[in-house]
Amino acid sequence: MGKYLIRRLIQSIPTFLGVTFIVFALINLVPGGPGSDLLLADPNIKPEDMERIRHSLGLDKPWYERYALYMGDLAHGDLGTSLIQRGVKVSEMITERLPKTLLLTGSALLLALLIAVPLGVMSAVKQYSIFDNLATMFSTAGVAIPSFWLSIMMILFFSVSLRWFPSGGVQTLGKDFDVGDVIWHLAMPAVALAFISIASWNRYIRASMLEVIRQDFIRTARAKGLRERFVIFKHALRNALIPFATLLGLSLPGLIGGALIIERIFSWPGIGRLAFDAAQQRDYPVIMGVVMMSSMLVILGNLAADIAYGFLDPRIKQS
Amino acid sequence: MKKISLLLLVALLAVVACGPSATTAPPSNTSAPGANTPAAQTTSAAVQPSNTTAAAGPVVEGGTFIEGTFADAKTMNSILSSDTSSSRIIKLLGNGLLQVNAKLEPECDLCEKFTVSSDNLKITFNLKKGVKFHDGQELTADDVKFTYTSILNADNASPRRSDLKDVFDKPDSIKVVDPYTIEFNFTKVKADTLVSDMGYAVLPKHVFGDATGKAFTDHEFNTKKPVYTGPFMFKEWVKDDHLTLVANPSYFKGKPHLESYIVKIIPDQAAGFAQLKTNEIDYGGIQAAQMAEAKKLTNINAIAFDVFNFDFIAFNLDPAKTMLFQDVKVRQALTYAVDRQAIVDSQYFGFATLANSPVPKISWAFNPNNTPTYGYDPKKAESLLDEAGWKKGSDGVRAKDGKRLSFTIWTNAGNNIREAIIVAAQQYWKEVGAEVKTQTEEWNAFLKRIGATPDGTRDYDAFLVGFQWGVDPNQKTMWSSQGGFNLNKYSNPEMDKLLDDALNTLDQAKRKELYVKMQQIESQDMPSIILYFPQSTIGMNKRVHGYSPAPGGIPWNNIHEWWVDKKAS
Amino acid sequence: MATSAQISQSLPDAFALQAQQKSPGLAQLAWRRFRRDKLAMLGALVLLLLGLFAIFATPISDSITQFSPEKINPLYSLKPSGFQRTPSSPTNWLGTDDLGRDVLTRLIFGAQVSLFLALLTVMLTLTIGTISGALAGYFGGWVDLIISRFIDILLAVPVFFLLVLITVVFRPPWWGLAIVLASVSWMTVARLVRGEFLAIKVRDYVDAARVVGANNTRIIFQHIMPNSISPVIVAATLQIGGVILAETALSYLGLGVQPPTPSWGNMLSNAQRFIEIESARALIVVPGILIFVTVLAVNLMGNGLRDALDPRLKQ
Repeated sequence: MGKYLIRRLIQSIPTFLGVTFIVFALINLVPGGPGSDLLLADPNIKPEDMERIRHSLGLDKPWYERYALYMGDLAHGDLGTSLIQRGVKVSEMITERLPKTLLLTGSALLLALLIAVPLGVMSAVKQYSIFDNLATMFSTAGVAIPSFWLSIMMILFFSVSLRWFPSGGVQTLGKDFDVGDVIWHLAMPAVALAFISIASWNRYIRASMLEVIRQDFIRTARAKGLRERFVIFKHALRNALIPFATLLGLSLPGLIGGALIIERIFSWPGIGRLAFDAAQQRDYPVIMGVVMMSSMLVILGNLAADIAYGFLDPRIKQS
Repeated sequence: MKKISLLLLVALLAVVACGPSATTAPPSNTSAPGANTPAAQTTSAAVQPSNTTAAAGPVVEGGTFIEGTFADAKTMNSILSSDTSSSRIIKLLGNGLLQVNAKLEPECDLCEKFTVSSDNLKITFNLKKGVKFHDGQELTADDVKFTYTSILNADNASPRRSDLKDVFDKPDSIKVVDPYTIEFNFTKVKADTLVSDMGYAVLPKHVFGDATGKAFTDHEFNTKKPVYTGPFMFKEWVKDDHLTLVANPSYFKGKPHLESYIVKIIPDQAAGFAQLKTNEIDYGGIQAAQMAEAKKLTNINAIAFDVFNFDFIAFNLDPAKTMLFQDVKVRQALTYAVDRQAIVDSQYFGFATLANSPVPKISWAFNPNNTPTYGYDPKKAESLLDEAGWKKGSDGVRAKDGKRLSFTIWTNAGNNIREAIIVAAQQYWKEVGAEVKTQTEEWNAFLKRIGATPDGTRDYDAFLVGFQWGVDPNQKTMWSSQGGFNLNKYSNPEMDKLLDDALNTLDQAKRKELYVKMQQIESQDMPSIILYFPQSTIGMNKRVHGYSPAPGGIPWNNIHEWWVDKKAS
Repeated sequence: MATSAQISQSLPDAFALQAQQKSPGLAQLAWRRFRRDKLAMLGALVLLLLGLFAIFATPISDSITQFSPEKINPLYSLKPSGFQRTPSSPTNWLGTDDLGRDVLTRLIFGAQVSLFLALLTVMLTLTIGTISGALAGYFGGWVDLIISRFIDILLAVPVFFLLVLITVVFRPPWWGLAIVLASVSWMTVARLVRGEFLAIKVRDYVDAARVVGANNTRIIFQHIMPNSISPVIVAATLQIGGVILAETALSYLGLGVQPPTPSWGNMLSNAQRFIEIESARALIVVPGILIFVTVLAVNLMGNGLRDALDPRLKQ
């Protein structure tokens, strides 16, 4: 397993190189060029001053030179500094926000699993029951709702009308840090982000379970007189989760990307917003840092899925 | 001392909030009407909220004030800042030599008094004694000198350098006479200097040492440890989330009643309004479309202010690019053809003022009787076009010498209101026989197209964008043939001379006379249609007391006198 | 949303792994099964209806709503449903938008843009995905290596970030948006097709074709392609919903189809600023419902198609 992990990590190096180049080229080769938003936040700034600021940021160098400089720094593990918040290290900007994004996506993931898996299993076990039909309806309808609309409706209903939850932020400002307070703030964005996953995973688990239930070893287990609940959860679910582990890995980029919208609506200071603002401001060191970081997360996520696969699939374990 | 405001920011720091208003705030542009950050705006006492200082009960000490804004600050260094969010924070942290008061006039902030020499070339400031930086060091004339020499140092990348470098080009231009006296010796008279250049929050020399260049631009002062003299001290900055300031107990104007001031970042406008409703924030911007609803809320005062920013349509007057708009009659006709009032009503719900002059009505230079005025008059537009030789063809499109009256108008993508306006203009112009295409473009590319960047191409026929004046009525940047923001190459020698003259005297009466003339020439020549001045619309929780809306906006100058009722929950 | 696009696309992925023998009468069999699925048929019907509206948007607006989608009049801004300028003028059944344009008419033209955008994206996705997947799967070796590596790169980046980055920088027109959307979503199809090819090309009939002297092109298009088509069809169908949601999400950020061209996404997102205005209710509610119904219909149809094409799931 260790060897396999190392190989996977080495394989991901060209991925990183490719990603950095694509992003760099996008920002630097289009009209306006990098960092221009900074210079033009105030149209009263004279062209002469703009030129000087560009020079002090090194933006007057040709793009290939800047790319080489950037890659040189990267080789030393230096992600550079922001063009907009001058002097602030990109690594610092990311580490400041990453825990919040991980908290949000992690909670959403957990929530989605906790709801989707039992729901899917129940649906499969009671195929074509009223419960199953309701769950199916929820799933098909759930994935069809635009998430920003859902989020705004949640704010209007749960925050403004009912006053149950705060409409944004990570914690109550002006008060001391408190876990319960953070969870209270986390509730709505996590549900909003989990919503689509719940809807689609539930359906997936159901299909997967249905398939497993019909297989011989389940019939054998039942024939041996094992209790139905034991059969379902010990034997069937475990097998049904095998392909699901891969799906989980695959859906990570979607979750992280989807967090951008949720973070924006719920004023959640995560890397999605950092990426969006940096893209608007053409702050390329920041964008490249964020994209590399999130790619790394995705790759790690896929690795984790592979490992989970190993745990779930007895055949792999034995070998 | 009770008025004043952001004006300061706006003007002194020359923070042009919103130029192309989306500028400071492209992230908000899905829904923001331009950059209507309350932060950037100033006000006339258009509305008097019920609770001014007088009406309030006994002052309550302590408490937290939370402001909601859509964009995070970028720097806390007063001479590097170029966006409104940053300038707001700096205003709370620091003090400049002067500030702008509610009458939009300069008044002492850090100084005891200031004297202008009879030839207008020397300004002497006598500093207040005993003003302490947040770290306990006393502020002296050396700090003031350090602040201004840092602006002038080309390596420091201050966006304000070229405002000052021509007037302070001698070694003794800025002279420390004694620790509490400093002289500014101008090479030539600069009439707007008191409101435009003397408000930069003074930086502590002892913190920066001799830092220049990268050591200055990347100094930890700028983003991590600002040390100023102002009412609030820096506590923490969780980027994209909030920035917390705490009261400065030894503030030289008196310890603030508020215990802390928090700026909370709320990128989504609907969410921002929700947080005003739920008391999660005490103060924040409101979109014009939400004002009617906001006025019904019992927990906030919804206030509208006149401000210095505006949207305008510029016609390309460079003959090398297009000949279409060379004839003044064509420009006038296109102005008459547009029902600006209907546009303003549909987009701003009454919270905008039609412009009949390039000067906003809150400026002392405003001429209410400026002529000609351009009411909606399609008939007049048609006859002007006929006079100019543009005859209607069989397809309804006018043509002259075989050339059709056909052009493209551009604006920046992502600003709902501007996108709506060019579509409306297209329709209005079609009705008088002009065939117009509309195009939106990504912000950076758009700025390059309209020539706002050093490498600009000016490849356009007409464009719509926003801009913001400073407090001083000097509009050279847009109407002088040498102006930095004269993007459409307007040139009128009479205008050039008049603008120069107006900048060479500090006599306000004389200047007003010149600026009245300027308004008249601009309206006559119509190089650009100044469409309207949108109002800034904000909500302030009723638990906040001590602020007094004044002609000039929510006055941040007296923030140390504000106080809040305890929160119910 | 990207999330759902991602996931709904990966759903058939798992089934693709279990490529099964298809009988020659596959299409008829599938259709018979599909027809029995009432929900899927309903979905197809709804889509057909919306498609007709989209195709005949111009005649419909000329004769029925009697408004043009472009004609503005700010004097009639944000009028409520059922508004008439004068007793004899046509009715704004769903009211007007901020510039006084008829909301119903714009929704019909919005259907045109949204659905055509989705179709174009799907076609581009299929083209890029099928060709690259086929090349990789059939030739193997270094061709496979390069294509697979490239797919890995793209799959490692959160797709929505990439979408946002590209659209922020370029602000493409609607057809450009289709290219951008396709360029970040072809990988799943490519993987599916590649997998099918790997599985199928070792089968006897392909060998047989090779023996009788068929060239590569012919083997790919005549022998392998038809057999790997069904998971691709399902993925493509489900992608239509994904594209509509992605455009909506992008519109929220101001990055979707650029006004004044109406799309359901930008209508919904622009209407947000009028959320507090009573007479603008239809402006906010109806585009949302249309997006919901369309995506729902697409997904129902997609599910039905999958069941029909992969009969092992339903007995």
